[in-house]
Amino acid sequence: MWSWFLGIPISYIGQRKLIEHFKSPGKVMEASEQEISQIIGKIQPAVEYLKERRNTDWRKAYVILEERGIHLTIKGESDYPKALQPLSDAPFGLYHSGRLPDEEVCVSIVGSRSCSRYGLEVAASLGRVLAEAGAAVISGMALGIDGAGQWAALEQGGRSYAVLGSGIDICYPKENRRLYDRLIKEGGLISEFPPGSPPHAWHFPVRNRIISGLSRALVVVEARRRSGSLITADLALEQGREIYAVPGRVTDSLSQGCNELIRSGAGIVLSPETLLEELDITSRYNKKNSKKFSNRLAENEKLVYSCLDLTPKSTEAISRETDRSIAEVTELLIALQLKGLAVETGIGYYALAGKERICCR
Amino acid sequence: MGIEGRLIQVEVDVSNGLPGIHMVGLLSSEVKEAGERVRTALKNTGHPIPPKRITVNLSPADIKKQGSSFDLPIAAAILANLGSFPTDQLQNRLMLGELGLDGAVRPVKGVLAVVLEAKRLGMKSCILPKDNEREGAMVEGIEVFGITDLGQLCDFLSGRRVIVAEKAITRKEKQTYSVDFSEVNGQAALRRASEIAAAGMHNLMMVGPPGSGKTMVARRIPSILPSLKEEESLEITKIYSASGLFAGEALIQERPFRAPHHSASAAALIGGGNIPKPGEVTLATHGVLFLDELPEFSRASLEAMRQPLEDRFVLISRAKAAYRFPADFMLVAAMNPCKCGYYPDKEHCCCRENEIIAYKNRVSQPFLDRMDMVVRTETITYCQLVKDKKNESSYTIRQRVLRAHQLQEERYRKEAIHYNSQLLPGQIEQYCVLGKREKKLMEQIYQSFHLTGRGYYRILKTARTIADLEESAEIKTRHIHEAAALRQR
Repeated sequence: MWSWFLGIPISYIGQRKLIEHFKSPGKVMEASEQEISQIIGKIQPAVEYLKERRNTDWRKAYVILEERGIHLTIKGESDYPKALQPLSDAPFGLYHSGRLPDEEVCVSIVGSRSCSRYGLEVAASLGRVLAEAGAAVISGMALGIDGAGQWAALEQGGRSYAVLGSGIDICYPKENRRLYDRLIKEGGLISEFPPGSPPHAWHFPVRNRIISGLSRALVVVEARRRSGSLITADLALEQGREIYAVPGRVTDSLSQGCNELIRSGAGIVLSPETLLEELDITSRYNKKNSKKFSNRLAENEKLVYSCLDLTPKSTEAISRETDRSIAEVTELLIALQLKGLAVETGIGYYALAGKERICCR
Repeated sequence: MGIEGRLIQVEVDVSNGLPGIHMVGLLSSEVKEAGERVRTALKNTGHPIPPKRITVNLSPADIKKQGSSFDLPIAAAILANLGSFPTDQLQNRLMLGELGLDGAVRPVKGVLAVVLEAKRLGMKSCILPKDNEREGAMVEGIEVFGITDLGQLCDFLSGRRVIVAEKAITRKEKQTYSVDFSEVNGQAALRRASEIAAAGMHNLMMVGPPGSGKTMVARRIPSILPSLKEEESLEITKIYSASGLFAGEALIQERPFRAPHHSASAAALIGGGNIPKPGEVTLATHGVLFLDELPEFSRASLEAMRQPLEDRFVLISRAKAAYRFPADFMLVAAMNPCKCGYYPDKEHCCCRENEIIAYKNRVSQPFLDRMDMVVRTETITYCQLVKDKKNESSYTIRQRVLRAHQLQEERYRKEAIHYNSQLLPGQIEQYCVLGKREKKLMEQIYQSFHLTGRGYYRILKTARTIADLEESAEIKTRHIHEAAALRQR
């Protein structure tokens, strides 16, 4: 019955109005179309869905969903995430593939889709350290920060859950296909929208309340001013979650949102380890000494290496900084790249290679 | 025929019959009109045609005749027939020229190729329009006479007047370009890549934001290439003469630089038309073909260029004949990294990941596979722009490039190739021998950069050129490193 009710193409607000009025989905099914329209207004797709209700076998549809590996959990059931239970705007039902978060500590990592190399590195190292400490990473499986944090957690053998803005059977963005496939096996995909729902723009701010709701703390890695991640932060605040932001350079437009969050009182992430301390999660993570590696470099390699940064630099800029010829610098950069110490982020642009394996397609 | 000359014999017969000029021999309409022009020109210069039947045959009769250059030989043949001068004066002589109604001799296209062919066939002299005289005189070993009108022709051939043969023009040594590399400020990476590309005649792709000097540098690449060899010079001049683009007086000494607009059609690029004309790839022979805004070119035009890039000639087949044009050029292409042009500068670039990929994908992979080197260009900073330090001039760079060219020439004496970029996989094994350390490095590069076989060979070819620039016989690890940084990805 619930699976039929949740399939009505209306927003969460509409669903809530119906339940408040009729008390149960069964009553909604029996109600006349006119009665329902009075409550939610005349929404054409919804009207059509309601007209069809006598002809559809919702039980069969539910069985088909189960066969496809898509499960539905209703608010109040035992496996419904406990973190969501007390929220006033908790979704009535959650579709999910793979697991649902249970007792583990959940931390969400969110941020900009068009992020910098720095953002990717930080998101990935947060994902890895959290996974090592046994915490789950929750995010929206978007390009950029979201995906990088989740990918790193999975790479570390940890768990990650993605809350989608589309039906669970739709991989959006499709560039993240590999992450999507891995999440089904090694974590979970969660959505309040019925399978087959396209990724409408209005879905995303709505699903953000589930991301923050599921987690104990929210970390914003990189966000521009007025970004979607800040909406999530606001929601998290209302839900009484802890909020952390990764600081950035004041001149960097990608970090403005984060820096503003810090100014208005968000926790500051100085390193993944300090985040663990603040959250009081014990880390099994041992600091590796990366200095050791650079000691084995030749003198001129060291020079170029010391010049690298998480922000990608052009070959030319490095040549200017080190005062070496282009020929020599390109040669050394490739040598460093082969040693795994540098990465090429775009044609002729190099950055310091982090310890992380960043989500790549 | 294409850019090659073909000798046509003009025969005239005057006999009794219905008066008129009848022309045969697979003629296009402008050649058929020659009869009318010749008749009027003869009348107006005091040689009225008798009321007889005149048959003109252009042989061999199975080749389509085109152009206006048959006017003069037809007129000369008729004049000889009428007894204006002895017929043996026409023996072993080549004649070309268009006639005006007043008997003036006007210039025609493609003189150089025809005179070269005449010389090859052992002809002794040729008579050309005065305006084409110097173009014909570039060919040594054949006498060239320039005339201005029909009267002069009669006087000359009947011995009433002496015309001095134009002296063969010896090669001018000076090679001048109006642009120079010393005008390029900053752009160290691009300068270096251009030098390597020029040294091995590698195809070069430049990726960078708008206004970063891609076009400026491309324009200057011909100026760092060594001067043309005699036969190269002749070939270029022949091409330009056949295309009607040649207006000079001496062999072309400068390497061509062709920059077709991105709206160019496939036919404009590789050549085409009912009777095919050379396209941009042919006009850029021994020089640089620059394709700015590469993704904006239509896919069909770019795909059509793949064959000439590989074979270094273009074969255009038509029902009547196949035309073969040389297309031995260095390709320089420029593109922005994304639609707005500023990626990866996140402050300016607002393109999304998939838009950036879509932009790059507008150029097909097989086409990109033919670009040996890719280099990133940078926006130049103010202090680079106004710095006082003198930049290296084209001349200095050219000396190094020249040395690399000489090394390659020596090495490939027995092969059909001239430059490292033309090496075939089999030849790469032979000429790019690697030491133990270098082999290991190549293996590592192959693995970590996920190279294809083609990509692997491209790095080796570029590494060979970098070693040649250093005049090093072996390819060292540092050469491979640098070549790998310039690889196509």
